[in-house]
Amino acid sequence: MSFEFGAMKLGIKEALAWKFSLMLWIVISIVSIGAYYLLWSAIYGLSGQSLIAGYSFRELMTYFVMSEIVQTLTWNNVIMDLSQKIRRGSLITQLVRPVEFLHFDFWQHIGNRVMQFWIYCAPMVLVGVLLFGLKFTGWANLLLFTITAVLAVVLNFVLSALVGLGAFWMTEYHGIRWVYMGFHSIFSGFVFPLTFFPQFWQKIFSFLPFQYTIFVPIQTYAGKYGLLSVLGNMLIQLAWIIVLMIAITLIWRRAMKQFSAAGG
Amino acid sequence: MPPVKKRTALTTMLLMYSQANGLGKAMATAIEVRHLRKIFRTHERGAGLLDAAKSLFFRKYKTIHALKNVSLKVSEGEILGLIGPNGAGKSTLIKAMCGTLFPTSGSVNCLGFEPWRERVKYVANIGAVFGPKSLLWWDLPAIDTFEFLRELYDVPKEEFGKRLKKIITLLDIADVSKKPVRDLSLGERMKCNLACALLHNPKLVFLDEPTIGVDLVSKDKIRKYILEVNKEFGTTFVITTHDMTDIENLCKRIVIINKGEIIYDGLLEKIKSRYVKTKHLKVKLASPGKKFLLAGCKVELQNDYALTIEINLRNVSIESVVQYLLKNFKAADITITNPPIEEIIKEIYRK
Repeated sequence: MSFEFGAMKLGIKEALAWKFSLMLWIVISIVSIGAYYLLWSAIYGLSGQSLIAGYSFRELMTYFVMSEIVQTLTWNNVIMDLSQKIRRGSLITQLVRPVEFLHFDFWQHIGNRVMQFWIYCAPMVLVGVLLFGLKFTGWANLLLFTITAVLAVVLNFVLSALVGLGAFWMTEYHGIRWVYMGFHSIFSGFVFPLTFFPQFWQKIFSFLPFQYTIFVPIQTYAGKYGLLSVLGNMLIQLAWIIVLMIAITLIWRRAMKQFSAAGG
Repeated sequence: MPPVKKRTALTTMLLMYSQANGLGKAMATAIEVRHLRKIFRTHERGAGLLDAAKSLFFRKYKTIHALKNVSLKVSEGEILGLIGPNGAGKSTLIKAMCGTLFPTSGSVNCLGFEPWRERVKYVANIGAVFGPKSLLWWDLPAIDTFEFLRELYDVPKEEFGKRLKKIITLLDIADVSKKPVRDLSLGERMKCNLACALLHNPKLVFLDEPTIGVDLVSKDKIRKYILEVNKEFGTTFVITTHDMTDIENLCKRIVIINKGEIIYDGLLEKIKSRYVKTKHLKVKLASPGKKFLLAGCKVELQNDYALTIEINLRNVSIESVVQYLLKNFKAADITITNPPIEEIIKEIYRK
């Protein structure tokens, strides 16, 4: 574990070096939840209903606060990092170290997220409670949420890594990244709950990995699932992680064969 | 991690003996490259907006033969200089030897590994610097990178502390390594890069332009350090550089590569004696003398205190020039220098 621990320490140190910009995320979150607050209070007011798609206004605000928190926790920079390292040829400096780059990057990322949790999430919970009426749904839900959120962090990492590998074949990757992020923010339930979609679409989303990175953890916290389906969801998360890891391993091998560092 | 081979005093002595006597060939082989070829396919496009738009639809592909049938052997404990003009294929060759490039054909054997097939296992035994590409974490002090490398290569703490202390003193980076890397100059970063490549005490080290952007004093420190590591641990080095002073100070043997082919592989001395047709004689005069006049000599400068002469070795021998000099002048100091090796390399490139 000495190496994994070392990589995590680097992630922690780096997060501390960037602590100011990490803290700024809180401001961004307050602004975007604030916008949702105004928008949805208008919608609830105009519709005259107390429940929309099964959500009370307060439940929906809890959803939005949690979605900001989970999105920040599961966020990663793998796609940009990989594509930049490939384009500039600096990946080669990682390839001469006796560890696969993504394996190292994962542990460094975990270290970074641990710090992000303390710098962003903990204060954000306070902000959520004070400004937006974030609901506490009980210790059992919190515990189950924690487990599924950790799985979501891993799942989103391997998902991004798989997408990032495309940069080995396309040098200019910014466009792809933006398109992916757009799809991801909707399919993952970041923008609004997936239950707002028609049944047909919800069915499709359940066959894709995206909802398991944000939507499912939030719903687990909200207590929308029975214990059995919570455990079922965790198994699906695990299955996705394994499938994507196998895909990454195979594609990485092919990528290495055709990789030639640019420049020099 | 593979165990680090410990050298006994005897093997070190034997090694030093064999190096001192130019018996490198009898040593075990660290690197063997055979008939290596690498063909890249890139698309080319002209300058300007119109050409950029055109290239979206019609792509002209160009095949580049980066390496054409390169064969090369490097013995354990050798410091090999790899030189050649820009785009000659030096870096491609280094990448293939580091395991980060799959060649089109041919074979490479480094320390018993086929580098690109067993890359992760193999690179635990090597260190590498790739010119200005940073091996360090941009927003952290270099010392954090060093600490991570200790954990990555699983070096015992005490041993590592000793090595780090030595490297920090020799390269003079005690203060530098505590500042965030983004605040360092290129030269300072290069010294830290070198430390990264050597801290785990690898058996084989590839240095692609290790002295780029480094000032003269630091260059000297880097060279001394490389020589010391080579002497103490028998570490094998492959070095590319455009600074011929590096080569002259470090390497006994050089390989010159041009357009993907090796055009010279042999002792530096030999190439010098083959291509060096002139020498420079600088004399400090104790008292003014008459005009220097000797066949085969070109007077570049003569005044009351100094005299500089270019000697053409084809027409006159050093001995006779010196004899003539001592007979006719009162010399306070005499130095004889070779033309810089750049001149020699230029001569070979031209062919």
